[in-house]
Amino acid sequence: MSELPPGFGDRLVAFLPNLRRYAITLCRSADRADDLVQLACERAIANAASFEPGSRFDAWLFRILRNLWIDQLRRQKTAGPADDIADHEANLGTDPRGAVEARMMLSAAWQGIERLPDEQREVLMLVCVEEFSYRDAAEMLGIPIGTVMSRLARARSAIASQLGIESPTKRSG
Amino acid sequence: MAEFTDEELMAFADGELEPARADALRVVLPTRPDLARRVDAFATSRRVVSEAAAEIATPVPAALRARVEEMIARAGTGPAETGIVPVDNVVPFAERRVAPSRPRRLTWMTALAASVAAVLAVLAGYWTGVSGTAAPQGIVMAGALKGGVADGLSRLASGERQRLDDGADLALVASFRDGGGVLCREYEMTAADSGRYLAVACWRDGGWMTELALHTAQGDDQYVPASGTATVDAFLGAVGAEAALQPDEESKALQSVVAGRP
Repeated sequence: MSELPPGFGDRLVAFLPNLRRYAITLCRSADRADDLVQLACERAIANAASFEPGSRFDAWLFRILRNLWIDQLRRQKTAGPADDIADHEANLGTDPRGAVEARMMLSAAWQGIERLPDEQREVLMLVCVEEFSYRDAAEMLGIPIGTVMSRLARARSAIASQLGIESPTKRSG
Repeated sequence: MAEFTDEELMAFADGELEPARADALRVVLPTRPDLARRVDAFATSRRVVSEAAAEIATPVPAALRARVEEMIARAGTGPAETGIVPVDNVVPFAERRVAPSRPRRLTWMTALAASVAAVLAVLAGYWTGVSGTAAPQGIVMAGALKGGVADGLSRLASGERQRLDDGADLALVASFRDGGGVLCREYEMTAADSGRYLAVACWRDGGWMTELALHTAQGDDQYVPASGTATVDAFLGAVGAEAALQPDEESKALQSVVAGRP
């Protein structure tokens, strides 16, 4: 009686890696990300009927996850900060692949990403990792496209300087 | 001719710059190494961020995947196969509000009941005719909240806290509206003798009613509501709550409460 729409479960499972990656970049902690992903899946399943066929499944799921994350953030604001960056860095160090230099660059990039304000980081992830267009990201986040672009430009300028690439910080106008 | 902003240079690198501006940029780019370097910096940052994200995203843990698959199976086959034993100290507190999509919600509530039972005492306002259980200080078990708590719920923004006359500490966590548009507030109460409670109260019939109260810590000040917050999340999902209200929405909603028309 409470059956999911056809294919819903398969799509959800197939999308888990993206959902988890997005969650990790939001919470900066793999453990908390997994909890968040599970909660988001629970909520998605409970609200499966509210998904409109033909709309973006990924954006719908990201939105659910992000709303949960915002709820948790507000809760933390009262509870005091929980700092997970350290356990994330430990995570990074275990990767056996790749040349040391490349890893250091990615590690530096990740440190830069972690230091970004939340609202810049989430735009950065949606566009550069999940390949959302500016418009789709704006729609998902419920903000104007101009805001997406300015946050994204600031985030990427910060990453670029973190990496010692020419820092595109100054406007030429 | 107008110069190019960072946003435009970035959009160019991303292939999102409007065609007219993109053409204009292409014309000047060969003679403007400064612009070219910045376009390149934007392109490089995108590539590096994408690679860094791939690097940190280790494979989905098998346990997580299995839990999600189990939830899907459960939803697909109805409540008969949940294997969850109903627990008698937990009452489906949201039942009175679930009429429209009852079957789904009830399955959901059953699952919720199991997780709740593991952790806590649930003291929701409507069905606690249960006397004999000591009410934690500051939380009125049955019906409406009064005094400092009610006052705090009507006035404090989320993130604010206040010491009440009886010494208890009231901290507002978040505001939201349930599926029926009723204003609800999640808050935390800490009292020296009764420990810490995470609670949800909603504005009904001109007063704050406790909907859910979870005992999350005993006396000391360790913050442990990992299971408590998950439970509240589950509760919010079950009552059809939307995302937490933004500060401006919240302040507007509270003004209406104070004015007596939420």
